[in-house]
Amino acid sequence: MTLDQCKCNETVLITHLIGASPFRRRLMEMGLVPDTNVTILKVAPFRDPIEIFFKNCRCILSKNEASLIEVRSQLK
Amino acid sequence: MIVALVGNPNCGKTTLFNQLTGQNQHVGNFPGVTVEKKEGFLLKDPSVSLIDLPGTYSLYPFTLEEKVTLDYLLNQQLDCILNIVDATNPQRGLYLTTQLKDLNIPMIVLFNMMDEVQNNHESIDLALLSKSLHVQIFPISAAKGIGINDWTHSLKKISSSIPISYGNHPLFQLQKNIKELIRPFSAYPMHDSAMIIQGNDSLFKQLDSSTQNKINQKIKDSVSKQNDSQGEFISFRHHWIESLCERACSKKNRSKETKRSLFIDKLVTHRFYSIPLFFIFIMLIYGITFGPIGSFLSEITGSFINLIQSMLTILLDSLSVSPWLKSLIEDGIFIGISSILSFLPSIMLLFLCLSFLEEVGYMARVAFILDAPMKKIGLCGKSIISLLIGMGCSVPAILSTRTLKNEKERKITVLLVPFISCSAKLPVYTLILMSFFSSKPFWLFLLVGLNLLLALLFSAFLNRFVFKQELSSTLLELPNYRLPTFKSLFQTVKQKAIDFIVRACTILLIASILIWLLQSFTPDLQYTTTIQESILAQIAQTFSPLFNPLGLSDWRIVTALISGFTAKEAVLSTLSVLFQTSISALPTLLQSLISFPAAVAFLIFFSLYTPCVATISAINKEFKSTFFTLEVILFQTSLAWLIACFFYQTLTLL
Ligand SMILES: Nc1nc2c(ncn2[C@@H]2O[C@H](COP(=O)(O)OP(=O)(O)OP(=O)(O)O)[C@@H](O)[C@H]2O)c(=O)[nH]1
Ligand SMILES: [Mg+2]
Repeated sequence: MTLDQCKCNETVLITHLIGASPFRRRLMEMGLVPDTNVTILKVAPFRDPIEIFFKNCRCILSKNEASLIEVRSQLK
Repeated sequence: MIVALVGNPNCGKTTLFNQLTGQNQHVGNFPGVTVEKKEGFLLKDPSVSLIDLPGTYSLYPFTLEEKVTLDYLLNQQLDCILNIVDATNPQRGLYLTTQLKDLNIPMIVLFNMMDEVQNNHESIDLALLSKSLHVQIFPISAAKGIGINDWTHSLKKISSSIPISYGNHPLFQLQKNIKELIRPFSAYPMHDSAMIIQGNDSLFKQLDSSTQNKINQKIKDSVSKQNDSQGEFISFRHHWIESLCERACSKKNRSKETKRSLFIDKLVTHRFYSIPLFFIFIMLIYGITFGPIGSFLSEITGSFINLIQSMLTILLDSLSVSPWLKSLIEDGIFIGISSILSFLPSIMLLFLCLSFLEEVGYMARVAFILDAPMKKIGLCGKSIISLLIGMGCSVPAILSTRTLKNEKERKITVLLVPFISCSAKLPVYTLILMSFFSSKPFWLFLLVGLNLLLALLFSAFLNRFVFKQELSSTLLELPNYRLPTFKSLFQTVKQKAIDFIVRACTILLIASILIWLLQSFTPDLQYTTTIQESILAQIAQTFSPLFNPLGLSDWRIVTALISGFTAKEAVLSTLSVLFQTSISALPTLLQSLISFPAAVAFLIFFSLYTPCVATISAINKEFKSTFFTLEVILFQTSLAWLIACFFYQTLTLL
């Protein structure tokens, strides 16, 4: 599953980031590395971008790029 | 001694810089406010020069303004790095700190925003962090001015930096091994080694092939799976920092500030309400600036200026100066500048509103709600931030596009900035609207709306036919809302007022004097009081035919429009110099001079034609292309002419 397919208010765990683009690097530098928890907070009025929460930080991220982030739902 | 402020975007570097140097640089609550380096001297110790740099998430630059920071760090002999970390989110800030440590430059770390940390009853074990990172760490609160000078004592004693030890992690060993290999070729071997592992090959390409092979082999041996040394290296650093922070920081729930912001955003970024709300905010800004409050303040200033004028006349009469000098002072200098200065309150109100939006944290929200529709026409959410800044002044708006990663979006955004009515255009709008239209704000909205519509169409056109499609991506931090302090708003508005007055007393003064000279002397350099014989009349009349199709054949109006190239307000000061009247008498004069359709044409032409000199030079500086710049001038002017002509002709037919 990738991050753009998750539902609002769902918390998931990053497993892997796809590709090798500079954008992927920037996501990782900002702290979106494997084993990080991410929560989807909201979807923008026009359905793109999405708003996410991780490591005490809120970010907006376009769906296109959210699809680079592979996640799995958290086992509670 | 040179000390540079380095840190993540929006961690409070400029706030601290202003506190320490007494300067008044722009502060705002969204990432990417500072895009250029700024210099100042410590108030407490002028021998130390402090450099404010654009915020950056890492030393591997992603956008242009981050490159400014990296270039400065690598090419300048720094005595000390002052690394600011946002204490409410130390993990992200410390990633940059570990990279800065690789540079091996003496460093002091400041944990900013400690007021918010305390407010949440959290604790950070700075001693533990300090021991693990081998740096001195001081807690501060830049906005509150707490602890901001504590670090200066350590500056004198600062020694060379001790590298961080990440234990025997294979990637750390790899970094050290590569460092040994490239030591002879690199000024910052530890940093360059990290960059090579992350696939940044600007240095790698300069190495001889045997070293390259050795490095490749070493990377292959250390990386566990696939070919992702970059990802593994970044993850390794982040995980190291995460475990450090888990030991040093008390368990974190969402902070009060985050909860409050999430609550406000329920409305502000709501699916249905957010867009209308955005337009309401924009209309409010114009409403406040142009509505009762703005006009009331302008009237007070106007009568104050009249008072000064009558005193000036009495003074000049009592000194019995020669008539041409009296004319220069009264009709040249005073009339021109005073007509502009009476708009000072409105302009200050406009900047007050804009800086409130910036400091409260609304800008990033706008980028969020409008990102998708903007992408359809080749822009992105962040372009809107630049365009909103452009409501104040085009120059910082153009600079702010540096934070746009996508080159196409950046170019289109810059091309749209001239469509936005900057603060300098407002006095002229007011004058024309006062003269010809009864309800000012309504027509103003119509004009601004028309410009916006043209801008969007133009953007869609450029996106479809001129620029090639590029994949565009969005990543922006949403800062927590903060109530701006009275002091910081006051400082910003004061700075804008000073800028405005300085401009009135320099560019506009010179323009006014020039206009006065040209209209007071005949081509054979005789002083004259009949304007028709003056040099200016002769020159302007040659341009007049161009403006005939717009109904603007009067040479004085043509002259005024041309003078607007120096600065947009100059149109107003030139008109008052040419008609020798103060701003309050201009409307009746204009009414008798041009028809209603011509007034509409004037407004439209003025709102769209060539940007002012300052904007032009900013565009030229950013794109380093004279061709591109000339294109902007020509395109804007011809577009303005065509649209104005269309409106004039249609309206006269009706
Ligand atoms: N509560 C609190 N807010 C602060 C503090 N320091 C700065 N701020 C706020 O943080 C926001 C960002 O401040 P800036 O100084 O513009 O940040 P910057 O690091 O220069 O940001 P960029 O130029 O974008 O890199 C502003 O809204 C400040 O008012 C602080 O100590 N406490
Ligand atoms: Mg700044």
